[in-house]
Amino acid sequence: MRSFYSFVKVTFVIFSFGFVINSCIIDEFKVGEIDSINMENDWGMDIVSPLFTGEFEFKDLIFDDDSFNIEGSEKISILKFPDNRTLQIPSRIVFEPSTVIDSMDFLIKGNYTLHSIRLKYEVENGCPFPFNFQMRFYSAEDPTKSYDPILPPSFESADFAEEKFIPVVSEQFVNLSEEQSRKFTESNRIEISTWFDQSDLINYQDTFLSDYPVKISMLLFGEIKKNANN
Amino acid sequence: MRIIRRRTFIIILISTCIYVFKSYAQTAGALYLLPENYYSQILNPAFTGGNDSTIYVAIPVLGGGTFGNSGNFKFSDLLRKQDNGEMAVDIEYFYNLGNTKTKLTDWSAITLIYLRLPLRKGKLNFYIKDNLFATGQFKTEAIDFFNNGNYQEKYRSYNTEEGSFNGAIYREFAVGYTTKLSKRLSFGINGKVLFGMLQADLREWNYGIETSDSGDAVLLTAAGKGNLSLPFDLEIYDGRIHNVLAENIFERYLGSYQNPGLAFDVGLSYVIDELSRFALSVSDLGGIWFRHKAYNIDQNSSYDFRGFDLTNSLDNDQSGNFVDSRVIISNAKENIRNVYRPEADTSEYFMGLRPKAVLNYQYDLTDWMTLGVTNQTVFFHKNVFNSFSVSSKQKFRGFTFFENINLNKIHTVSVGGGLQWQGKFLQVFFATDNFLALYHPADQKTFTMSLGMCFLFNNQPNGRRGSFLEYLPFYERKRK
Repeated sequence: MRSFYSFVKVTFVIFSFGFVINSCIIDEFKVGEIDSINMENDWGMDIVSPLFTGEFEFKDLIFDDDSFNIEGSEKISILKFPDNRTLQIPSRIVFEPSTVIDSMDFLIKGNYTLHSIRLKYEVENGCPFPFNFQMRFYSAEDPTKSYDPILPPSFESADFAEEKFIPVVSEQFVNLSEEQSRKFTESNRIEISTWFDQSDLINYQDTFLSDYPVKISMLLFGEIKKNANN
Repeated sequence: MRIIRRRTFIIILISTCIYVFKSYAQTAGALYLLPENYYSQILNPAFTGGNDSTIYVAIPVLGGGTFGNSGNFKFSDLLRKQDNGEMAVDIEYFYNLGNTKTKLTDWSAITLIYLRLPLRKGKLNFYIKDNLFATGQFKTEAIDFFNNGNYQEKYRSYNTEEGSFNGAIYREFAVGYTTKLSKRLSFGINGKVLFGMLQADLREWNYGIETSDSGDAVLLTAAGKGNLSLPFDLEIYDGRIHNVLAENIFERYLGSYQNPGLAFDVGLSYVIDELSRFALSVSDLGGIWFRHKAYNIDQNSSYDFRGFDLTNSLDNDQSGNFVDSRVIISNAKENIRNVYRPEADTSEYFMGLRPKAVLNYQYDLTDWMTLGVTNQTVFFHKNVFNSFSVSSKQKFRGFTFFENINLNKIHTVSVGGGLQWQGKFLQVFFATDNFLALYHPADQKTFTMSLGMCFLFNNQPNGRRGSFLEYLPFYERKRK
């Protein structure tokens, strides 16, 4: 009988402790689940960051390779290099898009996505024509598949004063669509093309310096959010 | 008059402890009212407890231990339930709590083996215990960045400053002896051989982000120093830690005996009169010599990110300075990563434990009820952390119920307690300093929980109710 009471007491104590221990873990989250805890769905932070910079010359932004053909009687322009060397080029290539970077690996992937992206371009253009700068993202899965290009309005041409072209600084903003924003982190390749807008100048000036300077600075404004897939 | 002065002195002393010193949750004070409890015997080696012939044996898993958490925030302030029912980190809510500094201390002590044997006129103690402690603090400005970003002008610059982390995991093998020096005074001492498994001490850690007015430059900075010892290999390139190869974690944890240390605990227990007793213990006096995979680490890096510079990366670049754009991006990313990779030098260093002093006074109100006060003080770096508790215990057959009111500084008051059951062959206990933590620990800023089970051998049956008094004044007077 005495051993039966002992058995009952031990059983009671063990159940009591079991109850207490169980109470301890009926919390909203379990320690074992911490690995799978993410940021809250609405979390986001607004950031600004420099993206690209570069200091180029006129000649850099009109060729996509060294070979070009002058066709028949088409208009010719002359590029004058700092060493007084000259090069005849068809005038049209100044105004045709040149793929200056064909394939830039742009791997900024992470456990986040970018939203509401706004790009700010600041260009100091020392060339005599308005300047255009275009980025196009390519699919990471299908290298031949590209998405809508990101193209701001053209940047002002240099001012002509005292027998030379004075660089002009102009700013442009581009608000990306959600689709374009998504490509920022999903794509892994960017193609960059540049060209100049045609103006009357081409009709009465045939010689241009190869080293007109162009400074480009791009800033990215956007909201970082958690990646829904993580 | 002398009694009034003594009481005034005690009140001033207690008030000083409560008001002046910092605090974090310590073992439930009521455990110091249970000298027969095997876990209390680890806390104060002077506790003789039980009958002279009783043998205590605790084994891994059943030996239990203590877990303590103390911070100036609740986990539920950071991890919150979302509309879809999932738990998620809610930085905005946490940031809006308005703390300027975030502090957290966690610690645990797991009893793997406990053995107490009668030996001559005393008792021989042996135990193996795994210990963990970790204290971290950082300015909430660090979270500020993750909440606000750097877009708005007022949030362009951040500096975490004063960030620190100190933590260690170590195993202790203790051998000790408890004996009565006189009818009133008991003394106990434990000598401990320690083995450090993991240690990190990061001081003055400072991460900064400074954004230029126009946003065209972001200066990333990281600075700090400290020590680090892990049972894992580190991937170190150019003197910087790139990765921690945390493989076979459990096996490495069990097999880490390359960082030795020594420490000891001492305790005194004094019977004031037939109703009251006083106990004192000082534990963890010693340290560990970290010499295996131990490093001095230093961080003083910065990178001024001004965008990916494509000047020499155009496909038709003929200047001879062409740099592939993927190299430009890869280098920039590597420079950013390097800001956050500390430099590491192999080293050897000494880590002191966190010594703890405990004062306990108890008074038997009746045969079955005892009141007590306990003050626990931990010394860590130049800080003193204090926890004061008022406790009571009631005995009913094999059960002992106990309660404690704890003051971790004056603004953090918690009510806890627990119970112990002791039969002829078994002793089981549970104690907490915060009852609310039983239901929802994540909703409490501070709490400790202790529990465990111990086998008793050669234990005399409980033949009478009430406690045995070790001091018997009647017989003493008779002898005179």
